[in-house]
Amino acid sequence: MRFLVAAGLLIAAALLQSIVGPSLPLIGSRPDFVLVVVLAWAMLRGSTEGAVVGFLGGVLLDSVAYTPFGVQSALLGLAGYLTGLPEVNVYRGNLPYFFGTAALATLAYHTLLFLLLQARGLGMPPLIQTYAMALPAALMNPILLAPTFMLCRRLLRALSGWTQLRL
Amino acid sequence: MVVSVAAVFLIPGPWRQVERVGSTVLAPLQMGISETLTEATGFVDTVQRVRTLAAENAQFRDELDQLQSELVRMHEIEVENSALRNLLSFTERTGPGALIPVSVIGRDDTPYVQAITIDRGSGDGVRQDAIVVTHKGLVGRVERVNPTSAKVRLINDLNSSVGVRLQTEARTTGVLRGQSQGNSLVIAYIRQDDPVEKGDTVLTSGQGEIFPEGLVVGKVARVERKDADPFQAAVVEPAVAMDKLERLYVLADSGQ
Repeated sequence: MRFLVAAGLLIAAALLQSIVGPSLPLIGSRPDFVLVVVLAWAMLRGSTEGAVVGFLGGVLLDSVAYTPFGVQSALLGLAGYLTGLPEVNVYRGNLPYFFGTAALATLAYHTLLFLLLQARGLGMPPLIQTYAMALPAALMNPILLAPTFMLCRRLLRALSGWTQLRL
Repeated sequence: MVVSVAAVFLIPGPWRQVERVGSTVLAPLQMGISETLTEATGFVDTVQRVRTLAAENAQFRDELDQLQSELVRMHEIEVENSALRNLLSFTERTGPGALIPVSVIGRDDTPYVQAITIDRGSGDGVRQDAIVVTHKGLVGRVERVNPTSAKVRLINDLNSSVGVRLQTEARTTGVLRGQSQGNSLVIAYIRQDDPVEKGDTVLTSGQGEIFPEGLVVGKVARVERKDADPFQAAVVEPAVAMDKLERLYVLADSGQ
């Protein structure tokens, strides 16, 4: 059931990223909606669920995006796994760590995406242009992560309460 | 994770099937949201413009008068255009079914990729490598076809290349490539002694067997020439604004 909730959030994020995202060029860039959901889930549920949700988000993003299929799945799976490695409690009440992790994950994601696409033989722009997009995203993603984190936490708690009620 | 990475690089076949399923599931949602957003944007735009409508109305009346006088002149141009098309053996694509109207339902707009997703797929007759145009000119080509949608690489994508020629007597040819950012394109490796001028119309040359000959691509906006270089380059302003794509057409008889 938890994964159905995650899937719903990921589908919404993937659609948002493919339709609304590019039309709203905030600061000449756009937030990575799917990455934000994956980070929030990984922070709440740990590395295993983070990796699964990341992989699922990547598959969805690969379906709507134009990059070679599988690249986003691998990257977001990795992002979910690594973000979920620290104890869940580390993120609670530790805002610099919370926002810093999101910013760092965004920069790492964009750098690895660049390198993976280059490894696939695609002609790529200079790395500086990647960072022209990645740096604003590294500012926007942590801001977006805060409400997404709270939404995910609320959904998980509601789900937990509902499950206990059924038992 | 390791399996995923290995699969990406080594066995793309099964991934293609997963992508096909994912696209088929998500395309209707993309279509629905895209259409709703377009409608909502249109409604908000209309409400915002109520105050200016009266002034615009008067302005349009003036423009109508001017346009009626230009209509006569346009008719003459149309006759001339028709004659020129015949001279160029340009295929008239006005028969039923020659153009498949499509709408944009998704967009990849990053430094790495300039691509769109359209709302028609193999079930509607869209084929791999089919050409996508607007009434103004060339937009791109279909690179991945799913049953209900297709992904189109735009001509301003960094990895796109189109054989082109200039509509001049010298018929200078070259390869048009996209740039990682912005709406402009570049024809690189034009020999120094080939004449290129600002304002020259750029057409597809038909070389490469994907893009048919004679499709309008844009106009030369700037020529970059250095005496030390054996080649010159032409920066091309595309005829179609790639950041404002809405209603497009797929050439039904193109692709494979």
